[in-house]
Amino acid sequence: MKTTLFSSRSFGRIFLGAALLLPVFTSCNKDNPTGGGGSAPQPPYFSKGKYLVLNNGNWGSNDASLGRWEDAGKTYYPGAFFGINKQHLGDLGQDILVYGHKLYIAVSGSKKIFVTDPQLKLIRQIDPDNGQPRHLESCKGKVYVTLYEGYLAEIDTTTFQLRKVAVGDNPEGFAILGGKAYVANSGGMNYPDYGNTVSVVDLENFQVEKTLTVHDNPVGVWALGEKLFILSNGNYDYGHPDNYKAPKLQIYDGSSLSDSGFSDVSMCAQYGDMLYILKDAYGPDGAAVIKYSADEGGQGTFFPPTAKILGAYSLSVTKDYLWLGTSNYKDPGEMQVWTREGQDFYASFGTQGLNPQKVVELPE
Amino acid sequence: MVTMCVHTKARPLLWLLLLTGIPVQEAFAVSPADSSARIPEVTVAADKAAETLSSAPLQRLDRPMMDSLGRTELVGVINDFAGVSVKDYGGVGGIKTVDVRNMGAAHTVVEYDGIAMGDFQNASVDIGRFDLGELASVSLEMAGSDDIFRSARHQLAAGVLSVESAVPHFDDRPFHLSAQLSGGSFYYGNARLGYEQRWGKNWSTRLGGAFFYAKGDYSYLVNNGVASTVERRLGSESLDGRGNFDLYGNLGENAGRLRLKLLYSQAGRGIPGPVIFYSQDPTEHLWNKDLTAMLRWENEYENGFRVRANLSYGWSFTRYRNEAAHLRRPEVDNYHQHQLAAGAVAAWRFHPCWQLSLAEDLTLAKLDSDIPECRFPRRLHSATALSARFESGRWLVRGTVGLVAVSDTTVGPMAVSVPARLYCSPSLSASCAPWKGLRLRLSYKDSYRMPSFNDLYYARVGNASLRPEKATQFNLGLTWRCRPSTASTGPASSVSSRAGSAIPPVGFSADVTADAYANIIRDKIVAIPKMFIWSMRNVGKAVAAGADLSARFSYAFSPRIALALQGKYSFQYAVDVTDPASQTWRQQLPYTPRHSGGGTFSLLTRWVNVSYTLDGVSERYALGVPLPEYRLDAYLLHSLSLNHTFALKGWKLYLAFRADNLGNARYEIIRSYPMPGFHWTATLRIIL
Repeated sequence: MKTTLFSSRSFGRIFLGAALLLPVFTSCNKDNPTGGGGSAPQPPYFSKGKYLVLNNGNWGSNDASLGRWEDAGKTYYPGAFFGINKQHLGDLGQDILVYGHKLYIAVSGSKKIFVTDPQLKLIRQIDPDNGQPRHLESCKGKVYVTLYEGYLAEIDTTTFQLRKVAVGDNPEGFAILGGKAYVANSGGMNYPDYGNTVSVVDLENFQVEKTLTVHDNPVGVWALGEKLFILSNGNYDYGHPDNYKAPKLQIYDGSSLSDSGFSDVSMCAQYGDMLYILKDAYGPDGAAVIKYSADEGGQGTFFPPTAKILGAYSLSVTKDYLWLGTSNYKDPGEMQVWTREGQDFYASFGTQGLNPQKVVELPE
Repeated sequence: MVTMCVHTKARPLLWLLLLTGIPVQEAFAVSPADSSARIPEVTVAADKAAETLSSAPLQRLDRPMMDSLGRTELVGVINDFAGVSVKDYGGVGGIKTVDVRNMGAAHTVVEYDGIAMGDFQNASVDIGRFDLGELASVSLEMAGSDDIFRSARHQLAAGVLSVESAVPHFDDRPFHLSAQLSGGSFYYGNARLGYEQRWGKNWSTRLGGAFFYAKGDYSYLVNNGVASTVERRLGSESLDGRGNFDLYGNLGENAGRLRLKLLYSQAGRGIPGPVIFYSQDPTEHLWNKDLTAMLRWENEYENGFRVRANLSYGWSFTRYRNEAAHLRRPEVDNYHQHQLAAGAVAAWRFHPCWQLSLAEDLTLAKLDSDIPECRFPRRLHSATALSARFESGRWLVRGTVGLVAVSDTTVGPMAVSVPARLYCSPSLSASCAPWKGLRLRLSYKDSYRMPSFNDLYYARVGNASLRPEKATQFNLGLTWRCRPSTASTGPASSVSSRAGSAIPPVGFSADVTADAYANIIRDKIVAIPKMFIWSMRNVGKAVAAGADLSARFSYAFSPRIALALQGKYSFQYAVDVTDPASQTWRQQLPYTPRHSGGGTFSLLTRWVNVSYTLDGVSERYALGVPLPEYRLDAYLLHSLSLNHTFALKGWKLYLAFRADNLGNARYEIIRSYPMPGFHWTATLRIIL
């Protein structure tokens, strides 16, 4: 089977003229919905309705890959990155981010951050100081990345220079709110003594300002309005009820920490002011997703009982769709696409790579 | 985003699952035919060496053949066998496990002088750690064995790889001294000394020691499109030292024979890990210390009664260290294991055609470790085998009923209650010789692979309620054997040909075996993910159907010159049949080639032996779904060996040179673990 897909000619057409137009980012939320007011019309350098799927791959297999899904025809084309750049992403694709008409791809095992232009052509390979990049966010002309060795790094998007600040052990996800990054220090490598802190980094002077104590094994942080949602995985020790610490989604309002009230939270994804909470990813009845608004609370559930979803691996949300990656870790993964508004099943496809990690919509 | 954590966490675990601390014994089986014993069983022992007479597939290579092929590694010898694959993680220190007919490495018992190697922590044995220089023969059995005078554990295994060291044999002088030096590519060096002494008429001892060093920094291709580079393998340096002491005693008429064996080895090596694109940063090391002590007694009585009993103790220590930068402090894990085993087998030939045997092995094992949440498992393992064998001139029928009982306990705060396990495994084999030289064989065998301590108890991953994996084998074969009419009826190059000549008797000789088989593996133990942490489950089922062909032809023009051709071919259709809804349903199992084969052409003379070997494997996939990105290309390896044995005034000198992978093929057996390109080894051995 041939895996080349993007014909460079069609890309040339699509990108024609686009490179000169720099989109203006007014927010630090990379998934900022368009039409939210304020932002200038963005040029259609990737044509409308195209999405990139990152496959994490299997440890030690150098099989991280990107695929492209097109809404028109509901068609999936694997091997996007290799098709254009004739080289592989390497080991364990962790996160992708579209920012400032560039695509950033964090590959943790290979310790690389690849930067491509809108044609997906590789323009830079950043070595994050021999660190394993985990999670990407952007803000005010900078891209931020956690390094598993215990750092938050800032990448200048014009010079690609790096500066970093030590946070806690094995940082994972983080969110940016009010000029500060809130970094979840999982301490995942200190098992069984997982970490329980969130480092607050002031992005101006790039120093750790303070450290919050949260539930065990924090892995993700999302900013909704003025609130931070912090997901901790607990200690996974469900075999021992007396020692077991369940996953917990906590809310930090700037001064105090409270429980969100959601139990068995497996993962979250954010779109605008909505948080999508995936529960029971591994339960016998399959996963459920709850849409949560900071103003209105939880509403509705995706996945009606007839669609029992097993092996949920990742959750991504774009303007129109909710993407649920499923995996058994040994075979190529699958992606289920649900409409975000109607909460209806829309499409599904095989990602032809292991462990589908994330989906991003390419800007119009 | 959290998943990486699982992958990284899986790293030490992966190694632990693959690695094996050395020895620890079980029972002893085959005692190599002792030259001082003059008993009818010697013929039986010799017969069992003949692949073509066996009622179940048996393949064997003896020292003279190994020498004439210039083999220096056990892996190379096993590669000459059909129906077996070595899962090789590359290089000198890389793990190498033996997988017989795709049942999984854990189904193969590896025996060293009758001692079952490996332990209960890991289910498979790393054969890269055996020292071929010390071995007199290597044999592989699958789907059963005709010899019922064997340990229960041996009789009940799905596959058995037996390696045996040389038994001292004194013709003229009362002692032998041997020294060997080898060197080769990638800073490989090996020095060995051995001393054998006869003490009076009935006693002899053997003392040996060896050192190995390898840097293993071979070059390999990073196959990454326009970013492809040629790199050197880092972090595979290994240093290994070992010593052994053997005592052989004849207690006199009707009092039996005694054997004492002591083995100690100590090794340290780097674990280079998989090749990671854009980043080569090996941070893992492994150290092993192993001690094995074994005492065996056996005797034969006038009434056709034979008995063998043994007692053994094994201790092994393993230390794993990882200095990866994402660890707050280096991870250091220490494992201590003890195994105490007692075994006995009694056989009774109550009629010229009939023989009965009863074997029992009892093993006590414990594992202590400082890994978090260690459950300190202790195991009492009992294996019992009751066998009957009938043979007449034309027929051979053997049947065995086995019973395996396992009782585990765990201690400490993380203790779990574990149910006792009891399993019954029958097997049956038969062969018949309708025409001279031709033999038809048929066998059936059920066997179990007990879950290892890691499968059961490894913190949070282990699952204490696992059942054993069950393997069912059927084999149907045809063998043909031809010897020159002038030659004696014994096997061509029998065990005793210590003279070192691999030249067969004058005339044409042939040994051909062709087997078709079907295997079913049920309750496969598989790691499945559950909420970022993996858990072991009995979920897999696989079936395999295949054919193995092996042939050895030789033509000796005179006692001075002969031509030999040996070849093997395997066809494997081995598929996953776990879940019809899955993508892997009825797809070939990962790392399973449809075709594999090879052959060696040898010219054997009194002056020099030359052999040329081809070894080929068809394409395979690293996944259970045949996606192009996961294809491992077919490869063909060429190698050449030149060697000669001189005899000088009572001294014997063996000189060998071997060049492997002459075509410098870039290939992988396991994805991301490149194998070395062209490399060579030279060996000098002196025996007095």
